Amino acid sequence: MSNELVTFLQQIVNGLAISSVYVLVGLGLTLVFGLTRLINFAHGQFVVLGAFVAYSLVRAGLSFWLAIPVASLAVGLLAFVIERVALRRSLDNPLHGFIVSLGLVIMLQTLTVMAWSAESFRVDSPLNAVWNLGGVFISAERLLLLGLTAGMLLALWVLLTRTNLGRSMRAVAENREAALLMGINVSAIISFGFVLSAVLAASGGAVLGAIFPFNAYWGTAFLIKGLAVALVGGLGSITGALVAGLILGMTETLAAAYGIPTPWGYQFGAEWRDGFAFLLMIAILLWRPEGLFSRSRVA
Amino acid sequence: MMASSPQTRKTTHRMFVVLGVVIKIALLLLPLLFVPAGILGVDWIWNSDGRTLSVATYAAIFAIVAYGLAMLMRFVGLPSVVHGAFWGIGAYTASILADSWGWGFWATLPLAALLPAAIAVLVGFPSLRTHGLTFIIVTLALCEFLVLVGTNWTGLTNGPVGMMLFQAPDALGPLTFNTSLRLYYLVLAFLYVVILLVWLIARSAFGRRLLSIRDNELLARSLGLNTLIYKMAIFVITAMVVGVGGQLYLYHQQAIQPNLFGAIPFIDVLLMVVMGGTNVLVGPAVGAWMVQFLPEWLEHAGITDPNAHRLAFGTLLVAFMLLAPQGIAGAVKAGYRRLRSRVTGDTRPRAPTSPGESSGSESAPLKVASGEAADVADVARAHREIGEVILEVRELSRRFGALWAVKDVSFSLRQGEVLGVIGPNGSGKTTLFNGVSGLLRPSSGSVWLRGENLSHRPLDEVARRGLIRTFQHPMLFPSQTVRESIRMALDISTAMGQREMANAGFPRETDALLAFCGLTDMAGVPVQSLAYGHTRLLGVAIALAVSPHVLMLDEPAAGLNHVESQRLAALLLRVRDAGTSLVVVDHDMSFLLPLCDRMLVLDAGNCICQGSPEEVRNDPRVIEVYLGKSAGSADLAVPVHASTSPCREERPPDLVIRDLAVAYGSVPVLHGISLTVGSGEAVALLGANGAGKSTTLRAVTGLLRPGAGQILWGKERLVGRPPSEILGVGIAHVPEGRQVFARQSVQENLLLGQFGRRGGTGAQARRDMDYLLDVFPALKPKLKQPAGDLSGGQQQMLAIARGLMSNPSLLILDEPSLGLSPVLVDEVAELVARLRAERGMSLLLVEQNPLMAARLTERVYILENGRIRGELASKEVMGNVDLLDAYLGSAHPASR
Repeated sequence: MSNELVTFLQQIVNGLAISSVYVLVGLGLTLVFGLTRLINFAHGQFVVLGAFVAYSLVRAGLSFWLAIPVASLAVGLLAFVIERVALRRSLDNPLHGFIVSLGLVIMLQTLTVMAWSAESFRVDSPLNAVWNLGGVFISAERLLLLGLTAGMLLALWVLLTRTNLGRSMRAVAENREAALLMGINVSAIISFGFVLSAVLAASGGAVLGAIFPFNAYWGTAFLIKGLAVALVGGLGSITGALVAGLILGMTETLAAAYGIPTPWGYQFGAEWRDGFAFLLMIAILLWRPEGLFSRSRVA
Repeated sequence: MMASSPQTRKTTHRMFVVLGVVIKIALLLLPLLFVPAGILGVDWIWNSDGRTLSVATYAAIFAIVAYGLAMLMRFVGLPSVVHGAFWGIGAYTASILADSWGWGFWATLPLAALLPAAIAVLVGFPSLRTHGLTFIIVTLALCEFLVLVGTNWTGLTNGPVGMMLFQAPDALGPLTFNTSLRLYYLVLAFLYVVILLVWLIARSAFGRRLLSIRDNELLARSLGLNTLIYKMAIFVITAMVVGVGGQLYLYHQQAIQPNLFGAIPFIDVLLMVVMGGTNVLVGPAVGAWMVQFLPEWLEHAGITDPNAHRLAFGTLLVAFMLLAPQGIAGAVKAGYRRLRSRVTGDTRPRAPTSPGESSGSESAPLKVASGEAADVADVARAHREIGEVILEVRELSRRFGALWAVKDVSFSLRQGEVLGVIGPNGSGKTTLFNGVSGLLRPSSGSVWLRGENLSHRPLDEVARRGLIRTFQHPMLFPSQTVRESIRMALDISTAMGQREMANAGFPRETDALLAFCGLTDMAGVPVQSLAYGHTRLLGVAIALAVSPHVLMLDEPAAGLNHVESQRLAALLLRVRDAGTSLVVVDHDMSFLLPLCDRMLVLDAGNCICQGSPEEVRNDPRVIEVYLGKSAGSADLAVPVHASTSPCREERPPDLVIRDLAVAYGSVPVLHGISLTVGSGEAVALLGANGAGKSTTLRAVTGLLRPGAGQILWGKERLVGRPPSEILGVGIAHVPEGRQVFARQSVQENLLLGQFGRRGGTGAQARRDMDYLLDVFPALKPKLKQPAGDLSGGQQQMLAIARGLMSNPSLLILDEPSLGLSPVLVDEVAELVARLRAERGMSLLLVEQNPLMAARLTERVYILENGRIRGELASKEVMGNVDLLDAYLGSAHPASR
């Protein structure tokens, strides 16, 4: 293989890893928005907390393989408390809920700094295998992240389309009152969706924390990327989140690696990588305010 | 206080008002006194050292920025995050100009305001078209993007390192600002200017027009307001305010970096606004002072960790949003108002608080002299001169996907003429309205108003040319009183700049217009506590405030009782006589026929008949598709149900409702009603819109908690139990408006229906599904299709089938005939009758259509204004249609 092709494929592999996390974060946001019309700005903090808790558990001697699910569930539990105490009260006013979640960002961020510190950390993982495929390096950690994302997507798809629980969730998302009349415990469904979204984000964060160093302020970037994914994909759509996550992750990685030339000689390089998410969000929301993949509503 | 004379009450009241103003002014002047207070040695309030002065200066600067954000939240109803970037652009403009060209404070000041304003115009046009959370997200992305540009454009901004400026603002004549104290007073001066600006806007017609947009943007547009321009204006004004705040920030902090102006730091400003409150003049300033001084106070209390300070910020933001969303100043103001009204015994109604008051206003329409109603027909039929053609619609079409909602519909309207439009649901009546009024862009065809081509013009422009349309659901300004609503609409009409275009036939003053519409008694009543009939009148009154030449009304009489609809008809005739032409869509033929000069009938988007009311009524096609074969014939009076004559005493009641009372907030809806449904019996609850029918059902199935009363199912008490348990005892509720899960398939809808099923979901459930598909054969071929793709009638059948999947012993049906054409109503009625005969369950039916109810049930209760007015056997209903009309309104097109 030519050198250029190898470099390109390596970028694709790197892009897939980052895309996975965007997909996981976007899915969680979409799930919560579908059930409650709330855009949970504190969602990015669940990624960060997943990484921090996994870090401490591994440090305390727990196996990496156990640390990931335990950290995810611990964050899920925290999410349950947050939902019941704070967000539950603003179910009827998504704007209030949004502002509450802004306050939660500050609280969770600061608590993370107080509990750990503002330094960078990395989860110690037993995975050190790296495969060389014709010059393209693929690490076991990245494969794990891809596998985790694929598994989560599949599980979510089965849950939503094949089970009574999933049907109830979709019913609550569409019409809360009619769902009540079907005998569905709407309150429990909303809590479940919120916890599920936090578990998705935290598990992604725990694995990503083994690949890249992380700190307490990591969450905002993921939140904004996840928000872009959720909006581009159409709030409430799984396929949409998957496609949008891939598009965003790949665009960012490739543009950062190769740069975007301009006629006037300036090169948009890696320092602009965060800009794509912003431009994408603005463009999509102006072009189709409901997102690319959302079904047009039937009146 | 007790037994005080009106005179002393008035004096006390005035005293409280004066005291309130004094408190407000004192609060505003407090920052001025603070430093001298330190000098005078009373520093137990604030330690007036250099640091405290610096914090106070920050507080004043942040207050300016907070006012920028608060103005948006107050007048547009939404926070914009991109103002964080505008703030930064103001700071950077001042910094770059001072750095590169050596410009002083006063020279850069206009640019520090104008540059953010220019960028606000650029980003405002796209982002202001979005609504709600989308707007917040778009402005957030814009903010972060602008910050990224600032970070990466190192040639201009020095990149992430930032810029510094060590100089005081240059002197302004004799005034110098070279000490911290003088800078503080300079900032304070700017703050007072901003507060004055807010105060002036809140009191201006401009401010009221903005508020109308916040209250109901679609209504404001439909009255002719170019809402985008108005939102843009406040967007730009606030950008200038925060831009100036940015320059002051630079001069005080002396160093800036791009990331100071990102979305996350801007949360602090949002916290100030939320803490202070947006709707009170001093709110944002109070918030800014508290947020800036909070770390000082915490430090004073021994908490020195800056992390703890941030934690306190986050916690406060959450706590305020949850516990006091109106902010500190808002809460204090509300408390002061309460105290004032308690002390002075001031009972000017903000909302009717006692049942008596409320029912008094609700029953007001019944007091209208019957003479007025009787006159309607005479006035209508009197010979009139009809003027020249004013509105012409030529071959208007609108397509949605493959479906033509309206196809080649043409009609013309002369001055002073009334055109009625009828047709089955989904026949394109509302689409026609939307196409003519500019709410929807027609696919083809043209609209000519007074010789001018208005095709493809937007809603607000069409309105400014003199064509006003109303909406099917009453569209009002919910946070206003009746008088304020009219005032708002009059303010909008003066904004149009087209006064000479307006129809001169209507009063231009609030009170005269209220009198014209018969709303004088209601003037002080908040819109949200108006009775339903009055909301419809107010909707018309608001439209008249802009003096239209053509008024298009979409189902104005829907849900009105007979007297109310006659009253509305009389008003519409006065409107016609003032020279306005009317186009009226309605289902109520008794309302339409005497009113209209001509009628137009739509079916499946096509105009199938146009002519005089008599011609239309006798047209065979109209009878077939709309009125139904049984229209006007006596056959209708034969009940479908084949049960033996009802005898309540023989059957123990299943459902007993005793003294049920329900209130929404302070507005009572049910005043203690009692009724029973026997085992296997079918009972109907009849009443007009807003009588409390659906509320009764919602209380039975646990969707809302009654204030008092008892609901018994056999021996079980149902009050306070969740809907799932009530479903479990065997009561299924098919809600109003069908409410099928549109995005799930028909089969999934049915599966959801058996979720709370009695006796498990095994083989019997599958048999039930087969049985129901047998009863509703139309659903069978559509099992895998999304329920949203079904027609209205099929959705109603699916909703009933879904309810039956839980195997209930009592089926509650809320308005199954709503929105269905007479032909479909017949079909649904027959199916329900068959189900009852075959399954032997009890039925509690809510209807507006007395004939439908009489056909399906054995007994009816009549509900009016939250009280049971009577009970009769269904057979008696047939002979008493006219009497029922007075209570119920005639929803059935054939009942005239």
